[in-house]
Amino acid sequence: MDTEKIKAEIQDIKKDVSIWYRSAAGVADLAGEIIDRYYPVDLWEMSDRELSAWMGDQLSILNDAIDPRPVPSEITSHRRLLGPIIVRGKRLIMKVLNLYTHSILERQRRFNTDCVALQLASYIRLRRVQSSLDQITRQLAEKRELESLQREKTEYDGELRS
Amino acid sequence: MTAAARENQLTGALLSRMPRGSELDRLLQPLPRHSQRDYLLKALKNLASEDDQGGFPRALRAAAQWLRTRQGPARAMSLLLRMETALGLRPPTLALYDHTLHIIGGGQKYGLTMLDALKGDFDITILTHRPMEPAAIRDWYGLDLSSCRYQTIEIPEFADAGAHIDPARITRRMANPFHRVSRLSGGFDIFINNSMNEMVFPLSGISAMVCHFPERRPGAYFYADRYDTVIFNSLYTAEWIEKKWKFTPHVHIYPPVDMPPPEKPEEKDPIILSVARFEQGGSKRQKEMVEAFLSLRRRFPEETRDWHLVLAGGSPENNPYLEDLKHKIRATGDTHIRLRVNITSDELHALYLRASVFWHLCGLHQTDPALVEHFGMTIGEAMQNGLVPIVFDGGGQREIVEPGVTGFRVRTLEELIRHTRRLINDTELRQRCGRAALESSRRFDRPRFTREVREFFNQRLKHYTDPQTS
Repeated sequence: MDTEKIKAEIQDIKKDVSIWYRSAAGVADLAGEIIDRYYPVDLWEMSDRELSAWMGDQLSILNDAIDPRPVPSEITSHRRLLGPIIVRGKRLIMKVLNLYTHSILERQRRFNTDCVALQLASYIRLRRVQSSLDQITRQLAEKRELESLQREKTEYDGELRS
Repeated sequence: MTAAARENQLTGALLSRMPRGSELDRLLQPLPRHSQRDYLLKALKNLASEDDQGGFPRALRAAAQWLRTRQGPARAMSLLLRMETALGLRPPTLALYDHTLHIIGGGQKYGLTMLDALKGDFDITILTHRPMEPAAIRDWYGLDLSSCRYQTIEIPEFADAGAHIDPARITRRMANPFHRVSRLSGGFDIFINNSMNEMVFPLSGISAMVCHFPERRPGAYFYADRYDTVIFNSLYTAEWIEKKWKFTPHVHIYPPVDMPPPEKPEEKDPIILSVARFEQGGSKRQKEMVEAFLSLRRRFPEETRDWHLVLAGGSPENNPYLEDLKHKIRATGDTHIRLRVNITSDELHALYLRASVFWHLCGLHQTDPALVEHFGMTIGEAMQNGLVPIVFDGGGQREIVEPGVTGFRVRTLEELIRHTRRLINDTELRQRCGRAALESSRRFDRPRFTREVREFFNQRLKHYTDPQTS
C-alpha cells in the first residue's frame, strides 16, 4: 500500500478511536485497568514533617466523618424507570428506622465529636511543644556559637599580646 | 508457540473477513499486556508493507477494536500513534510535563535540557499549568526551545495558589485534578513527567518519570510505579526511592552542568559565592551563610578585609524569607554581603567567573531527607568554573565533592568558617583545589548528559517502532 493511503486510513480509524477516548468516563476507563491502589502507611518510617502533615490530613478526614447518621440524599439509583420508586422506598424505610436508631447514632456523633476534639487538642499541644523545643535548640546553638566566638577571641587576643 | 508462528497466525486472524476477538484472545491472552501490543504492531507493520489486497485498514481497525475492549481506549490510540511513527509517517511526538516550570530551578533545567538534546528528533510539546514563553527559558537557562509547542493546562483547583502548585493538597477524598494531564498524555508517543508530581497516570506508548527526589510516600493517586522508566538524578535520590516508594528506579542520569570553564581559572576575585533558590522555608540556608560570613569577618577582620559574600538565586515575588534576609543584611551594615535575585544566566556566569569559593549548605540542621540537597547542580557549575566548593556533608553533595581534593564537606558553621579561612589564607591550596574541581566536574558536563539522554530515548524509540517479539 502506498504511504499516503496508509496515512489516510490511519487518520480515518483515529477519528473513531478519538471518540472512544473522549467518551471514556475517567482515566481508569482509558487505561482499561484499576489504577488506584491502597498503600498501607508505615508511620514509624515517616519524618517529623511527614507525620505532621499526615496528622493534619487524618484529623480533617475524621472531622468530615463525625456524623454517622445516614443522609437521605445519599440514596440514589441508576435505574431509569424503577429508580425513583426504589429511592422513595428506601428513604421511607430509613425514616422508620431513624425512630429507633436516632438516639444511638446521636450519642455516637457526640462521642465522635469529643474524640476528634481531643485529637485536635493533642495535635495542637504537640505542635506547641515542638515549637518550644525548636526554639530551645536554636538558642542552644547560638549560645555554643557565642562561646566558640569568645574562645577564639581569647586565643586571638592572647596571640596579639604575645 | 514460536514468535514467528504466533505472528503469522495473528496476521491471518487480523486479515480474515470477519476478524474475531476470540481468535485474537487465543493468540494474545497468554502474553503480558505489553507483549500483546508488540505482536499486534509487528503483524500490522508486515501487513502495511506486504499487503496489496486492501486488508490493512480492516486489520488495523480490528486490532484497535480488540485493544479498546481488552486494554482500554488509550492503548487503542497508542497503537495508531505507534503505527504512524513506525511507518515513518511523521516524527515521533514527545510531551514534557512539569507543574513547576514557571519557577527557576535545577529540576526544571534538567527537564528542559533533556528537550534541548531531543528537539532535533522529536516533535515536542511542553505541558505546564502556568503560561510559559520560550524567551523566559532562554533568559533563565540559556536554552533555545522556540521550536517546541507550549500548552497550558488550567487547573481551577489551584487558581488561587499563585506560583505554588502543591500536589500534596490533593487528598483521596478529592477528585484528582492532575488527571487532566493524564488524559492528555495518551496523545503522544512519549510522555515525560519531569515533576515531583506522581499524581499523573501515563497513558502514552512510552513513559518516563524523572525523579529529582521522592517527596511524598505512596498514597492517594500514586502512579510513579506505573511509568515504564523512572530516571533518577543521583544515588542519594535512588536510595530514597527504594526506601519510600519500595521499588528500584531504572536509569541514572546525573543532571547537566552547563557553565563553560573560564579561560584562566587562577585569576579570581576574593568572592565567596552561593547560588541557590531563596526557598520560603529557608532550606537553602542563606541566613546561616550570612551569619557564618559575619562571624568570619568579626573574628578575622584583617584576613577577610577584601572578601565579599554574594548570594544569588531565584525567588518568587513576595517571599517573606527573602525580605527577612534583606532586612537582616541591612541591619548588619556590612557592605561586603550582596544579594543578586532572579539574575539572567549571563549575569550568573559572570559571577561564577569572578568568584573563588563556593558555599552550599542545603541540608544543614535538617532531619528531613527531602530538604537535603538531592544533587546540587550549582555546585557542579561552580566547580566547572574553578571555584572551590565547601558544601554540607549530606545528600547528593557527597557524590560531587571529594574532601580535601576538589573541595570540603562540612556539618557545622564552625567547620565552614574553619575551611573558608584556610582557603582565604592559602592561595596555593585554593588554586590546586579549583583545578581539581574543574577536572572532576567533567563527570557532570552537558555533552555527557546529552549523550546519555539521546541514547536512552533512541533505544526506547527503537523498541517502540520495531519491537523484538522473539
